[in-house]
Amino acid sequence: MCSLCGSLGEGPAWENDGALADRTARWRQHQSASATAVELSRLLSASRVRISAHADFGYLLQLPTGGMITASGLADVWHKLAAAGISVPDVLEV
Amino acid sequence: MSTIPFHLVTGFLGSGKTTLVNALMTAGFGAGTVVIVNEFGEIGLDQDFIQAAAEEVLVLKNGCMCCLVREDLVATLLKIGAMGSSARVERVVIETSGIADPLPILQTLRSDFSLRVRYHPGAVLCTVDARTPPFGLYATPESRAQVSAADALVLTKTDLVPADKAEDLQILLMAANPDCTILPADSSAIAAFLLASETSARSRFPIDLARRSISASHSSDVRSAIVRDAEPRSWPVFATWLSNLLYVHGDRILRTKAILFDRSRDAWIGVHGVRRFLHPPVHLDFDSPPEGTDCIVFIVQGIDPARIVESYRRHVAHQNPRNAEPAALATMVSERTFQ
Repeated sequence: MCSLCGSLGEGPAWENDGALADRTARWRQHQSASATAVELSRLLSASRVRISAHADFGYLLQLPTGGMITASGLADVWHKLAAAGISVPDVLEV
Repeated sequence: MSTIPFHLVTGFLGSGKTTLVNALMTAGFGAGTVVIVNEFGEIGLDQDFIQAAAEEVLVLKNGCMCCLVREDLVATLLKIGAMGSSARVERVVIETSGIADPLPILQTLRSDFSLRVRYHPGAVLCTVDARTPPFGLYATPESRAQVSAADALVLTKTDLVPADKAEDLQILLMAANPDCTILPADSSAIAAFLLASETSARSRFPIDLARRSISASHSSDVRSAIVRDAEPRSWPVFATWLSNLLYVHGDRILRTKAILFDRSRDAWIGVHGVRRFLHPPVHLDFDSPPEGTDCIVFIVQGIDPARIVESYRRHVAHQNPRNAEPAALATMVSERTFQ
């Protein structure tokens, strides 16, 4: 947890390692995370889950019930959704 | 902050893991190396066989590292990491128990943030007893997991079997894990392999899976799918698709390897995964990759590779496959069966 803003953070996730490897600017990492959130929301549209990117902690998952969950990276998104009882889509099927 | 490489030495019970680690330590690989040994039983013996040539030998007892004593492993690695440069720790070698699945250990080391900033993955070595009968490779889930997770397979006890039998086993191993390197039980060759894996993740590239021609007399049900000219629409689209694919089907996708062009960063990126474990993506320093290597290769078992390729085309491919010419699509997709 950041001692200044109190936000949760677990450091770079796998997908961000790709962005970090070429030492891109932070705004560009956030741009990449936002684009990932858009793609996640598209995949999860049937479940009515909306995802947004946040620079400090990764992703914010807004569930159809109104609940909100944070996820530190892409892999964590799927785990958190499954733990919340949301059916995780299968890219081989959809 | 520079990170410490860690290597896993795995292999089934009695396949020669401790002998291999011992040989590496006495052959000059021991300086700056901390060895962590996991023994399943309550009374550990393996550490007594590893000579004092290693910087330090630590033992994790009372359970298998992949399921019961992972927290002990994390605590031990944090202690080693905290010693920092004063302890001159240059690498960590983890010898798993004979019944451990290496993947949960790798995932722990990558998913724990406090470890991720201190350590980076080196290589996974798997020892295989040359006397193993063909069915023995697939006899238990643990042995299958160990062979499929390995970056290099070390054939041990070859002096106890005829040369042709050892060669047959090598062919079977290549069929079970087409992405691996098969090394002789020679400590200098193994040490060189480990050192190369420490210094650069680029040693895993370029991929040559797409070019390999493999045949084996024993059907392993291991198949591959190759997506050629696999330029994704964007990195976020590819990363989202791959993470979902591995989350849902990771148990059956033994390997993922890719060289992709990321147009948003105007760079080539290498991706390497073992089941659900993904190594950090690597930025590759070339204007264009060697001919035929810009592709994605999936090694799968028990899943139709064509479904993966079709899904890639549907979700990720830059070209809209519905508008593409049939001939162009045919060059995107090829499939090979390792049997």
